[in-house]
Amino acid sequence: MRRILIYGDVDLNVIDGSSVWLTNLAKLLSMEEDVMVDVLLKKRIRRDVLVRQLQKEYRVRLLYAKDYVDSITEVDAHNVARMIRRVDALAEYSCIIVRGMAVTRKLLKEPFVDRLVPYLTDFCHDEHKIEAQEKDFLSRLYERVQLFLVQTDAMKNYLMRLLQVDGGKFHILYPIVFPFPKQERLPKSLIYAGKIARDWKISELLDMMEQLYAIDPSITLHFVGDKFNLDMAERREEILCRLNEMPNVRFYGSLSREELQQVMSRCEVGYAYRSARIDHDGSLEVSVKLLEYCQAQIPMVLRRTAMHEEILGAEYPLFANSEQECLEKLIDVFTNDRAEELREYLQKCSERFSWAAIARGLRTALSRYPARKARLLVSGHDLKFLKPLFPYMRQEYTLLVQEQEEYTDFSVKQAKQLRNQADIIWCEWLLTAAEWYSKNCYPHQRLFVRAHRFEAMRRFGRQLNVIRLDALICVSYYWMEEFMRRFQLPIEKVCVINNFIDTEAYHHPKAEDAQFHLALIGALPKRKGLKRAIELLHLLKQQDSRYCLHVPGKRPQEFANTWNVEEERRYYEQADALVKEYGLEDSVIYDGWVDVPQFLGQIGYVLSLSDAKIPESFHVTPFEGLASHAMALCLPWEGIEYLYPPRCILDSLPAMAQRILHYQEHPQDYAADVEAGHRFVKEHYDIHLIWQTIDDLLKRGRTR
Amino acid sequence: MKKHLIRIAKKNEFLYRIAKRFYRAVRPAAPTLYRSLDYLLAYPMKTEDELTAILAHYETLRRENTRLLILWEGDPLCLHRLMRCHPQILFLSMDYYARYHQKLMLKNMILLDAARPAPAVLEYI
Repeated sequence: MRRILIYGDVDLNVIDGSSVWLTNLAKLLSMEEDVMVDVLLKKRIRRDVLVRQLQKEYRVRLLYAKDYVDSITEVDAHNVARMIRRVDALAEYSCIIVRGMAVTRKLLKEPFVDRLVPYLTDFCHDEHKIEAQEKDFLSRLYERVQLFLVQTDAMKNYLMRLLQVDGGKFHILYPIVFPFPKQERLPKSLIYAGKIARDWKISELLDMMEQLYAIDPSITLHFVGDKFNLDMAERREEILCRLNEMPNVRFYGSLSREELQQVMSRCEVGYAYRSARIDHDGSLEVSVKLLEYCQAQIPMVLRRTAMHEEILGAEYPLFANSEQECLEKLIDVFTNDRAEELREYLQKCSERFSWAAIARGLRTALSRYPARKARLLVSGHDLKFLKPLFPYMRQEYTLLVQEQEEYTDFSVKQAKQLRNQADIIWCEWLLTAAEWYSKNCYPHQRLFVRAHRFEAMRRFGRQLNVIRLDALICVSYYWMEEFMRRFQLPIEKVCVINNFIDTEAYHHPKAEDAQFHLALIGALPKRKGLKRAIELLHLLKQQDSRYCLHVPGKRPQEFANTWNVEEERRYYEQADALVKEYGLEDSVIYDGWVDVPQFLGQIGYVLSLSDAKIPESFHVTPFEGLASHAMALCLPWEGIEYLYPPRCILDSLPAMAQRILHYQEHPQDYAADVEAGHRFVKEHYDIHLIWQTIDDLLKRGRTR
Repeated sequence: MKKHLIRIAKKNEFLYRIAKRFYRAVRPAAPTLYRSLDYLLAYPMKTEDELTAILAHYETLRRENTRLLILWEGDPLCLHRLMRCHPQILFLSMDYYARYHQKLMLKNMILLDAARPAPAVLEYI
């Protein structure tokens, strides 16, 4: 896994080229299976238009400074070094991509400078005017970093000349633009999407629209964006008024990336004409908007510059060098229907800027930074349903374990230490650990909680911080519904992954008389239905004296939590009395502790006779029986229909006894059902299958 | 005055921590509540064969703020396998609500049919 931190000195609440660049880079990097991306936010997200999509990506996390350093609410040049040091100590990044001169200056002497990947555009682009200090800084930066991202070939060549270096560390990272949906175009539609600034010639665009209205009123401008640059602040009211009131302008305001793509892909022609101060032959930068128009196959009017000619070719027909020429080109393209013929041309021009080509290049460039295993922390008090997975976990992750004797013994001190070393946190049981980690884990960490059954009757689910939770994993659908209802958990935060059975561990030869041996594995507490098992044995003994019942596991007297509860103790005393009453002393065998796979070699039936109303979550042991080629027989407790095949479920004890006697007379039916049951367990609950599902969840989340 | 004090306190981390602890003792922070404004586009499904058509239908409608929800009306025993094979899809079992007399408590749900065109209301979500 490669964990990458991105910090751009840009506010993601505002949509502009830099913030779009940052979010697109995060999205692009997270498309790699083994990359986790953290975006350190300059400011807290108050408007999620730009980041809405990112917030749903499992492999991208947005880090708010205050969650790491309490006194920092906004990251800037003064605190960026401290902030990155803090986050890097916790997350151990492979590399740190930083955009912005002011912040990069502060990082030059940091210990992580060899993992720093600068992306700079805001330096002087004129080699005759650049200050010695700035040149010296760029030179030292190039010397210390392993990789230096630049936006264009022109910028690379400029820096090579300026710094007198061979340029081996430079990697060209063009602005990233994702493909646009294919849609039917609105006839005579002109699009502008971007900021409202003097050099972007917005006022002039509106003037042109007035003139176009006189020529052809059906030509409509689709205007997306509402960010005013300072140089237009004074004219804000006037511009907004014109945008809202002009009959041939449709003003959308600010849109999310997805909504923008929808609007853009329906338009015919684009407006990218800017002042000569921005677009000139000495430009080292390429406009994101230009590439977006190319990707969306929207021919655009724009100023003729060396950079634009290099991208679109000198013969591109919509170059304009004045507002008047711009207007003429627009009239020409709309009246002569020339947009269609230019679309294919644009597609060819934009091939080298495709996100796939950029991703390939970036992957190779970043491969120089070391990858490491993700660090998985498992915390819980009784890990019996998880420990068999530890060897699998160790293969894929660096495993840290925090095991408690009892769930009430949770050590906050130990948890704080372990939390600081983890990428993914797995809390087994929805109890103290789950509550603490959900309230105290960091935004860059993933948190999973696995809940079984009894936690539904505890308070911890109500105290869970759902915002930090990635998924609550339930072992069956019935309990997923119960946890959702009892703790008001949203459906997108819960999922089902069944318990697993290590089917290969149960390949022991069966005893010849196995079909006369019934087993109730784990008869504590009383809801497990020991008395019902005795009743069943009694029914069978009336037909055939060879039947016997095995009850492995602890006796109630050995288990204080059961024996000290009046109601429980009385139940087991009644069970003993029942054994005596039916004369079953020789047929009920308390085996004590057993090695279950070996023990199942002598068993023909594994029972699940639990109460209907406080059911099992999964009841592993009958599945273990099926894995060992014994038959599982169950009473219909709530939720069983999602877990066991109908052949294993019987309505009552007499029906169950009848089935066992039927099998005695028809051994071929028994063999067929046992084989089907074995196959079912292997296909649905095998340890390899369940581990694969868990591993996918930990690596990919529940991607949409 | 308040702003001035905050400015002084922020310059010294130790002072800031004490000031914050004192302030939070007097005025505890309101908890941030989880909220999702996503729409659940729900399709009833009886057999797995219907899934391809549903996915194709959903693909034409999906947005940033939508999630696919399948209302499973088939064999309950198949549900876990479906959930395992399609982790990106949300599933609910209709059998559960009938058998255990429970109410469906989901909000923002729009019921769709893969065999019919999408209703116009989806234009406005």
